[in-house]
Amino acid sequence: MLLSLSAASAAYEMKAEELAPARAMHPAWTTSRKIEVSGADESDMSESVIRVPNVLGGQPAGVETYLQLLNAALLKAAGRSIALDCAAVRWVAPFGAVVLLESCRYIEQCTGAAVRLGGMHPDIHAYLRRIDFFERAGTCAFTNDRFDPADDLNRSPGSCNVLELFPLRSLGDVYGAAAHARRILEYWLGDANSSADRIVSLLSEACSNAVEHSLDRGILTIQKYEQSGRADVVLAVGDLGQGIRNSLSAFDNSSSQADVTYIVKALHGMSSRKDRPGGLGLGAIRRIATASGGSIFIRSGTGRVAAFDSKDRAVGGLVNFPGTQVGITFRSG
Amino acid sequence: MQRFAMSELFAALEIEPPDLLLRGYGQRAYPLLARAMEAIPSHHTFTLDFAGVSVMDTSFAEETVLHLALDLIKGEFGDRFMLLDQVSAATIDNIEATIAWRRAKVALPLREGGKIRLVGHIEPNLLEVWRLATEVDTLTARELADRLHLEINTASMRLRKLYDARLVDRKEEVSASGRQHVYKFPG
Repeated sequence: MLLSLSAASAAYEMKAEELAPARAMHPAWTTSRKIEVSGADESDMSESVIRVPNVLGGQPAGVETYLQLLNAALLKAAGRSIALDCAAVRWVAPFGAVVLLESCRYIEQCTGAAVRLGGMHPDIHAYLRRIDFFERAGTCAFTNDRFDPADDLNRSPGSCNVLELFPLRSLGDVYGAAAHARRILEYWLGDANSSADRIVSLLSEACSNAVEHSLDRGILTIQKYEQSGRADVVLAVGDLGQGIRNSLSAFDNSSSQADVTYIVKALHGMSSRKDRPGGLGLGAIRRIATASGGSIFIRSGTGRVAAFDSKDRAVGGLVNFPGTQVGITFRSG
Repeated sequence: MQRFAMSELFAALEIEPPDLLLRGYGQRAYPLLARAMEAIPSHHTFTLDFAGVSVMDTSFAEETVLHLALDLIKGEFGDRFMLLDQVSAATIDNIEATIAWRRAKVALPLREGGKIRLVGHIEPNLLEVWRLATEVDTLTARELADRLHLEINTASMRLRKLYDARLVDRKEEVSASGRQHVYKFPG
């Protein structure tokens, strides 16, 4: 056992072989136990580390690997703080950014401790700074990774093709997001392009769901990708609220069903509005996105649904992650 | 014809142009639109002018355009009619989607490219009669029956349905041959 002593505290690290049983159970989950013992207070502060796989930049369904690790870590956290080792992360897409942010909020809610992000590749660190990740995370996430501000990405609309993370707490915020997005979209796509109108429609429906139905605050980000002369605009909206199932099940006469069933119902018009019909939002998003050749992906609770055309691809029985996270791809031009 | 500039809603609702979004704002807009509709004389058309509005989303459309149309059909506004003008393509899509999603039996006249067409739901046989009504000054059941080779009762029923749907106006005339309704496309 390696032991180093200081006048005020002692810190020691467990030898690798002592960690072997834990590693065998979770190959991608390493535990680096740093236990501080002070002379005055022998409180045991230890940190569990989740090695985040490189799944935040691909298809939204890919984040399941990370969420499974997160779920396992939280089950064993037992009051310890959790750190995210992001060394393997090479790309972050809008849906991945929203899941990363909301997962930090979730971890902080569960453990009472802020999440430390470490090992970030400089490009990833720069990107997270560019989208205001740490500003939006507030007290729930931080990093000690060094960064030279000279490496910060340019914030002009022409750089990075991204709309930074935008919090949604009220309908007024949704309007603000739509107005901000419209300025960026018209820069990206041109003033006369009706795609901007359709994307604003998508955005308002997705954001209003987060504000009106989640009972939480929402978060939005947008990214443009160019490929073969075509622009894909990708939006992601997320929250840690009550989820689609809880939002709808109180108004459903049938017995309680799985999360994925309620997501499908919501896509087909089921509403939680008591006084008059609602439920247009997800259906409208699906119509606009798929008509452009794009897609919608919804994850809520233990279920997810991906709609690329007229068909739904629904999956249930996933690890539970609270709230609702939506990824939308719109193909322009 | 009385015009209502939808762009006036930006100031009235204290929202930033150029988009009309969200159910809550649509609910606040409806009373303003209803009052404006009630202020126009009977047998006139209330035109919603969308100049300056880039997009109206489905939720706002449901609370305003669809709500107005349904109340019009219910007779809430008497002998008044509605027309949509200068509507963006994305807004037309959203209005059509709203009507379809709600399975509303509503058709709305829309001016597009100098012509007028209908958006929403209308039975094909009624659409045929409506198109004819837009081409002539006036139309009676007898004239319709003669032109489309219909039974007089059928012609009368179709015109009545269009009137109930607020797509044609009518007035009662007394002539030597008796009383009859004369229908016309609302100007």
